[in-house]
Amino acid sequence: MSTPNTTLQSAEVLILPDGKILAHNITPEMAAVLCELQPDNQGMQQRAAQTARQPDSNLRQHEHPTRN
Amino acid sequence: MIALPETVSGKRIAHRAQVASERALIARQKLSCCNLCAHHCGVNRLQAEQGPCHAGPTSRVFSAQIEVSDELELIPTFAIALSGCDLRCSFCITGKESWNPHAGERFDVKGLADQATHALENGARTIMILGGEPTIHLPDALAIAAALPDDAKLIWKTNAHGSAEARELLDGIFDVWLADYKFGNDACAQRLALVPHYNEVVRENLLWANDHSELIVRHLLMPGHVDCCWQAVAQWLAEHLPQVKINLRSGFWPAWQARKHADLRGTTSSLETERALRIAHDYNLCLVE
Repeated sequence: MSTPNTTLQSAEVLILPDGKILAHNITPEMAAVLCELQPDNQGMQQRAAQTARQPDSNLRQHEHPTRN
Repeated sequence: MIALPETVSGKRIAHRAQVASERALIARQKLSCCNLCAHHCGVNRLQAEQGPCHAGPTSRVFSAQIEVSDELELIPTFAIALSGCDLRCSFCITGKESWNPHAGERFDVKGLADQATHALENGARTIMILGGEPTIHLPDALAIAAALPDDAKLIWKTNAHGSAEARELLDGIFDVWLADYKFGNDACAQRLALVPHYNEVVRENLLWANDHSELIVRHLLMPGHVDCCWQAVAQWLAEHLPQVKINLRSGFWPAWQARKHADLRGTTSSLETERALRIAHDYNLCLVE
């Protein structure tokens, strides 16, 4: 089922049974969340500090037809 | 034989946008007998013939956003991911889109260039073109390079399975080649990515990229492949590209069709990661995060 008005932005997170967290396509917003989950993760702290503003919504393309 | 409007080696070209625009047209013509990747299938993509990548004459994009998960020196980057790839890595983290060039949205050069430029104006340091594999979409990849400011730092994120023909058209356009070196032997490459002669092709691309741009090599550490893949990759890099920056990534994720292979059903263990780091240390490799 496709969801209307979805933008192209996405990130994925996998939390393993041992509590280890894997992530890819990490947006600045997701990096901030991961920092909350893992306050001792220095690498993620560094990434979260690298901020940039996503393009305004009116500059984004339209819905992603393959994303559910 | 099509004459290139300008060729350079080892440096970024002046008037990049203009040169990229001219080369985009040349690349488009080459789709009539596509040899952009090292499969050299020679299909006429302009007539909807399909080779191993199944790509047609146009590109689609499945992600376009600011990301901070790449190398620290490159982030924040505005990453534009094109659908489709010429490899078939079972463990592809974006397999759904990377194996399907028809996934995602129409490639809108102006819209994407506007987004990218806006991102640069708001803190992004680089623009990254990736996939899937962008080499199979060289016409549109060059078209977007042509639409970006000449001083934008452009990253070419590739599987390093391109042809000499593709490299010639890329020469001087991208500031950094961020290239995967996934498999240290051809048997693993054939079994897990359905690609023959992998090491010969990748090594040729890496050596060229190092001569013609800045190069960062990535290796995704796979469970059970420290000795057969990473050890071999590390040894070759130490012998042939000893100064190159290498990102050893340990966060293997058993994605897509990884579970078809018993060795790829889990993640890398901390012991494997420690051993991989010891190998890197022993070879005196230049690791980056």
